[in-house]
Amino acid sequence: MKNKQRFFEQLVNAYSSDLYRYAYWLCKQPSVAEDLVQETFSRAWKALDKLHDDKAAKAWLITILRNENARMYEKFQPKWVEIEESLASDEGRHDPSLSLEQRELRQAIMALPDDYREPMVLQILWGFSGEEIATQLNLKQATVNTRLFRARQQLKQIMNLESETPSAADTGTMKQ
Amino acid sequence: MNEFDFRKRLLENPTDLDEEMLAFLKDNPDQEQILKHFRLLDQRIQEALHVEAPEGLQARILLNQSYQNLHENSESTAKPLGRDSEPKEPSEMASAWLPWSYFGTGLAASLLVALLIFGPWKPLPFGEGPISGDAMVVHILEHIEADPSLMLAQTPSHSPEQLQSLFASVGASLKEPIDSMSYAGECEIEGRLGLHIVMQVETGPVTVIVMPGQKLAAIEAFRAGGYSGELIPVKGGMVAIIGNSMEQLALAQARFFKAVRFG
Repeated sequence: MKNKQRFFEQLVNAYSSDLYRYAYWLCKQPSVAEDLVQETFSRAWKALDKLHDDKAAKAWLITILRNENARMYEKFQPKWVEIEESLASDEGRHDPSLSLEQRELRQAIMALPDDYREPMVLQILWGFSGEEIATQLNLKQATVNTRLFRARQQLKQIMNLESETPSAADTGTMKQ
Repeated sequence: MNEFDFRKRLLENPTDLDEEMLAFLKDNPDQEQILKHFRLLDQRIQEALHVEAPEGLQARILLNQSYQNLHENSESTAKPLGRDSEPKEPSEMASAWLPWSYFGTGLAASLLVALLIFGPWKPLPFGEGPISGDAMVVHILEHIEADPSLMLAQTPSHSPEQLQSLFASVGASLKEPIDSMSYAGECEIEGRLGLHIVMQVETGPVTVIVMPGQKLAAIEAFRAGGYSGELIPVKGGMVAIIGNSMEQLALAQARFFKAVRFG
């Protein structure tokens, strides 16, 4: 019991903030994101004995959170959509600690299709490989790669970063 | 591999380059500029994705687990919150994760709750006096006892704008109204400007003092003068929550941090 408690605390310390961020970008609502994290750890505590490999904890917690999000979203979608739209437009706008670019980038990330945003969050925030993302999202790795490509491409376009990208002409003759 | 393939692969993952990409880069050193550009883009995205987790999130998770644990140990016949249980409506979940209905189990349960709550953060001896931050605790308790009328239930007269201004004065902002708040006003503790809040939770009043500028390394619990309390580090300062019982603190803490943002 003592070890279980200690291990649980380690999980909370190590992953609660990143899980919150993942939940935030998944559901786009700060208060719901915290609820999701709370529920995730509540279920994790109950099922902790089933986690035999400590290294699998990250993926395990993500799976629990995704399941919870899917259940909540499925049941309460109409209400969420209304809130989501208003928040998506305001998120970060009034946060003085963010630069204009960061605020715009957050808006742009928020506006990405969910299918593009989620693999990107797993890769950039959680350090998942393409293979791990594919397993987590139950997709083919080629599909994951395509979505990652499109996510970054859209962000580049939305942020008008395309013009900043060194062109083939800038970088010399294109080599086949 | 050609330049288009290289760029496409960078957009998929600019961090981990495989052997084929490294070989291409070696043969085409001018592509270093492209690589730097995409990595800079990723760095910007990473910074944008890095939203701040709410203050006190870890403490609330451990608190929830403590009550869950207590519930499991003391109410073996109660239906567990398992995978097959009905999901709660999102708006109900924040209050639902603490099984408040089990608090009427008496003094022994309260003591066990105290042990469970404060065990992970700091050992809490059940003797007299505060265990840490002694001076601060004394000042706060003196401050609370100086005006007991603030503890009475009343309706706050502030407009939303006035409340935001009050919270802004201590480096905080309100995301939503604080559930069950009956008083909010500026206060002074040992020459420092703070924010004094009273919340009327189900079992009585709880005082919350926001003290900007006070540094605290970790959450500290104390029991003194008949009060139970906790000092919680937040961005730019500290929050003290003081009540008569652990369950009051837990409830007030959850409601307060659900509504207030620091930094």
